[in-house]
Amino acid sequence: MRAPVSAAIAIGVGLVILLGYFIPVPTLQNVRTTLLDWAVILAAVAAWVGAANLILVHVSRVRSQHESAAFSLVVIVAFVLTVLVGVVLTPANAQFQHVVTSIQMPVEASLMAMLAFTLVYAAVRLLRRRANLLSILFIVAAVIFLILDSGLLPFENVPVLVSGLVRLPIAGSRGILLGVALGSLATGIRILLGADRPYSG
Amino acid sequence: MAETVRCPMCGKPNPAELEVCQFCQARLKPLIIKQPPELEKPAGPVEPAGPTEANEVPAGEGGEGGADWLQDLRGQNQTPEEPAGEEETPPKEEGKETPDWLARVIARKKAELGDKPPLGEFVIKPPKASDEDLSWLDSIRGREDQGGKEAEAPQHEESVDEGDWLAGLREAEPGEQWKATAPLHPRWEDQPKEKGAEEPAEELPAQERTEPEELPDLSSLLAEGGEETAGELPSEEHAESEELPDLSSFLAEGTPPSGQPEEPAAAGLEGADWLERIPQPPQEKGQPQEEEPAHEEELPIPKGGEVGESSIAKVPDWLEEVAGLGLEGETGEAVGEGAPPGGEGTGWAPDWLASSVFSGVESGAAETEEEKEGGAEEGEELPSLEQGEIPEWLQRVRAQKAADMVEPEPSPFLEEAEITPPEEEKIEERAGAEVPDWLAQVKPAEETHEEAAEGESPPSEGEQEVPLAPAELPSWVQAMRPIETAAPSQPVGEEADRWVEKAGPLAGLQGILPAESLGEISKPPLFSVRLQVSEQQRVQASLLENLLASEAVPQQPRPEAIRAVPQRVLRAVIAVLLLVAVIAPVVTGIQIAPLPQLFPPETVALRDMIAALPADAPVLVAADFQPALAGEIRTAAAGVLDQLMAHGARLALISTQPSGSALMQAMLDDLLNNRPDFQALYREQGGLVNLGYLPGGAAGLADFAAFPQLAAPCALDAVTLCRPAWDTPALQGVTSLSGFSLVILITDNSDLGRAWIEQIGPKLGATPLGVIASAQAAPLLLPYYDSGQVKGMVAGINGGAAFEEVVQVAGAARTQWDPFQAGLIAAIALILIGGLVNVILILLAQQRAKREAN
Amino acid sequence: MDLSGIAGLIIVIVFAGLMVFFVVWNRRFPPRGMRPIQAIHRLRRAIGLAVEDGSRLHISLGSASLNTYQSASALLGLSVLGRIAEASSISDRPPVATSGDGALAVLSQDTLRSAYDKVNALDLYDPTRGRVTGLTPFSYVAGALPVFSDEQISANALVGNFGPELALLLDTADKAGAFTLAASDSLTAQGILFAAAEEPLIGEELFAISAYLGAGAFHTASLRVQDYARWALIAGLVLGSILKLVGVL
Repeated sequence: MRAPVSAAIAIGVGLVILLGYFIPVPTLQNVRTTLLDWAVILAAVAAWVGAANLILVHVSRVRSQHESAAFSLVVIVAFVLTVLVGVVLTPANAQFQHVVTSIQMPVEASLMAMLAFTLVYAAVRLLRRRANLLSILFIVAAVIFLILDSGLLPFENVPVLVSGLVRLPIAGSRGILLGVALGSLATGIRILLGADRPYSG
Repeated sequence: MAETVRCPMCGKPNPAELEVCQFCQARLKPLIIKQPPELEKPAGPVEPAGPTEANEVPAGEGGEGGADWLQDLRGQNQTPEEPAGEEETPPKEEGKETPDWLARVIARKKAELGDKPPLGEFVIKPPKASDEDLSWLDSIRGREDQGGKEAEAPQHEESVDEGDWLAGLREAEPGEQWKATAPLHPRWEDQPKEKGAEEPAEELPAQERTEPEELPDLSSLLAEGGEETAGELPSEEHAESEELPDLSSFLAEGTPPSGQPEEPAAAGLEGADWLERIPQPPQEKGQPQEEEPAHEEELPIPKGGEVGESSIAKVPDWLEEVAGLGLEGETGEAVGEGAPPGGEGTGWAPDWLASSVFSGVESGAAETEEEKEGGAEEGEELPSLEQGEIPEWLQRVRAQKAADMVEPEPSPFLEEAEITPPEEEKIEERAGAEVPDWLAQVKPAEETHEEAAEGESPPSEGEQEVPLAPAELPSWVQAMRPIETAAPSQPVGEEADRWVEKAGPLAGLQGILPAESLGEISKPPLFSVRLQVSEQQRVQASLLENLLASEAVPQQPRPEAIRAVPQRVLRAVIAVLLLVAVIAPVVTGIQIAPLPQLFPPETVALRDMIAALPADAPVLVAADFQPALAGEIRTAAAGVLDQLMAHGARLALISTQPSGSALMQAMLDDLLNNRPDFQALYREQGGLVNLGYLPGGAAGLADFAAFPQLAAPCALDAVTLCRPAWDTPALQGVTSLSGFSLVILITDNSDLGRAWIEQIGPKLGATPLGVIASAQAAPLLLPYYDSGQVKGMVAGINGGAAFEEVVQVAGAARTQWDPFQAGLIAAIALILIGGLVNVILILLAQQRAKREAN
Repeated sequence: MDLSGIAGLIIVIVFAGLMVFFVVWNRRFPPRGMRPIQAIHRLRRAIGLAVEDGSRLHISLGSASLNTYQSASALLGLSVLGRIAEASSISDRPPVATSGDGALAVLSQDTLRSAYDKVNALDLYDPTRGRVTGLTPFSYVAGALPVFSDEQISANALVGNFGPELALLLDTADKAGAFTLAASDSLTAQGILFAAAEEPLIGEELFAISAYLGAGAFHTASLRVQDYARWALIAGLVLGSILKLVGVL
């Protein structure tokens, strides 16, 4: 699609969605609802596009006889099997769900567990990487909150202290979140104005 | 193409037929004047003749040109006794000065009877003679024809010939002092006297009888010189004139009037046979000849401007007699005896000599063959001088001139004012002929000559307000003469003109553009054809070459050996420690930490909410968590789900994650497997419905919040893909979110939790919202609890353990509490220890750096 | 239309108007400059070094979906991908973009194509350079880890929505010795990237990357408007706190 046409569509739809959120006009809200339904459908289709892209990448690896082509082959086979079984047994099948969850959950859980080691290692080497005051404060804060969350301080007055300390990072995070919100707003407005067009092609 | 001749002066090409250069008017064809070098340079300054540019004689031939008139004389006065030599005819044939001019001069002189001042600058004081007798010249010429064969006869021969007649002249008038046409060199007397000189000396008397008749010009010259300078002779010159050693002795040697044996003539006396023909005048009484040799040393050299006064000596008597005889020969009048040559002090040179000289200078350029013939006729009376022969005395004079180059020599000739050129004759006419240089440079004083021709007396010394300028050669002539023979009378022009070429073919010449001597010529810079590369360029070129060469070589990736090993070791240590810390409590069963006794309020609030549920209340459970955190979520949510199932709540599961609903279903199945009393309600009675995946993210949530039956119409069913969910017993009586008694959000992501809270919160109404969050999302969702949007919360394993303690139910949290605590303690320890070690290492490194810096 | 809706609409309109105004203003009066951000400066250098030594650049867009709140960071990641692709178009190895969402992968392919089209090197475009490595965050990270070893990555730009799985990517990049610049809108990820990334960007610095890379005048103007809006928020918070404290509110 030509860039001006796609830009016009994107800008128009965005304005409708935005105005429909703020202006409670029935027609506008009906259009907004319809457009959101289309967006949902497109997102679901985009998931299939992503999956197809994933398979194509691994197929190209297998074809080029990449050194990790074996793993790509496993990915392809697993994908195909899962699709076939899911289509046959349906996602509501308890067995299918059991198989999927039995494989997916341990794998990702293992990756999650590796984070523990990674984060501890990163915390240990933080001062080697960046020896400044912020790094020291970071380490101190991490230790304090680890202690607080560990339950090693079963003091009677700890809950007050703990609740205060626990709420301390929330204040800092609130500022970050506000800035992120402003940035998100600016990004959205740039897209609405057509200044940023990732869809132009 | 016509032949071209390059001008010797300017170097430009000229047609061959031209005689003078069309650019600089220099002579292209040299004048072949066989004259000794002594005659090239007059004694005094030589004024360049104005209209006589054509008379300029090339330097190389100046010597010859100077004797041109003599050659003419010799050629014209050829007698049968003295057959003309080969040298004689060529000059005639070459069209050089012929006796025509001389004849005219003689005639004029005869008419003037010695009143004519000498021409030009030549300080020649012709003897006072009314008639010009050229007979002696004829004899001289005859002698010369015999003696000389080549034009370039040895100068000594010519000088011998010339010296003979001069000797005769001198003997004729021993009392007369005169000076040669050229400055006398005292050394000429030292020259070996040749035998040949004897003959001229012997013959001189005979010739002298006849030749003086043929030399009217000389007598006129002498007369003029004598008129002008007779009274001005200084005592010194008088003494010198008395002493005239060179000429007198020479003449004495050549002609022994006193009977003295004739000594071998000097070199200059060679070929001076003609002098012998000159009738020797009787010696002046009282004039010892011995005195004459002394004259050579004291013979003054006339200087410019002083010629007329100081340089001119008394003309010897013999010369005067000769001049007078010459004049007699023509005019029949005799020269006054004792009178100085040239008559009334006009000079020592006879008129014929003077007139011939000056007339030759004037008319040399325009001389024609007719004039030459006429001159030849008239020149018959002149002493026959062989062509190219120069009188010996003249040669010696020139030699002396050459030796005294620095000091300008006074010109023996009269100054220009004293000399009046003949009317008819012009020096230019003789330019192409054998005009001596000193004749060629004579500036015609036409006015004075005309005045003189009208009968005016020649200007005497007293009348002449401006003395005659000494004879001057033009600068270019002076510069062109050879150094060894030329005696510059005065500084030639500027310093640049004094430049004498020392190298090359023009060595010895003056006034030319200085040429670079071969020795001084610097070698032209050699420019190498090779590329000049500096050192820096060479380095850069080699660097580029190395870069290009390295492009073809595959580079191996840089190994991180130093960095990889410590990292791997540290990772391994950390992993081992953490594993040991986590596994040990499980294996050993050691309780590291007691269960929490203090419960967070949000946890208590959630317990209260569940406790307040009525029986068979519909509860919506939103499971938006990832499989990676399913373990933590299961630990945190196990107690809550147990309490819900214990209260008999109808559960509806939904998720915005593709795997969320499946994960939640699997969690509930595990719980039901452990609680068989709940299985009948939730598996058989339909107390559990799975609404599946809710797409669209926040938008989907918004739709679900507004229209839940439309957003999630289907329930997962293995038999049928889509079973109407809102007709199931689990969702019976529920048409909106507010129809639910409780909404439990289970999430590991704060953003997802925020989305649920923000999207469905406004639609819940009075329905409370509870959150089960992972430890990483709880801090960010806690403000929602503080704001009242969330009524209760369980956060991570700690919250789960607390909830189980609150409800007094033994769940998974209690089982995982000790490993969890051990892991935390290990992590805390590792972080603290690692941080401390790093700080110490940094401090040590800084200290080391300081020590090294110091 | 309630008050919150009106306020929200006004804020959006004012924000957009200020953005347009500063675009025009900056053309007339160019700004003195932006505060230096060391991480972005090193990113530029790393891009140049990667182009010079023939290594590859890796841009990770995260696993956020376009229809979520995290779509802003995803769209920003696409903008950064476009700038880096243009800068490294002359490289022997074109950059690779990984994402955890299908729609994001399609947009990353489109962005790469447009970048090569701008430099008239469309023949160098490879659709597989914009890929999905996993549909869940950890599967996405699991699929992205081999890229570091297989594609000879020398520089990484992790710009998008990440979770705690970011630590795995950072650790792998650290093992490979590759330069890493990480920026996320997630607080959890920010805490992790502060400890594990070589050059972390905290908070709204994520939204300044495109402006520092010279994406356009609107990016610079939006950055300026964000600064003014932040000060306005600070002032409002302080004022509201004071009023709350005083008892007015």
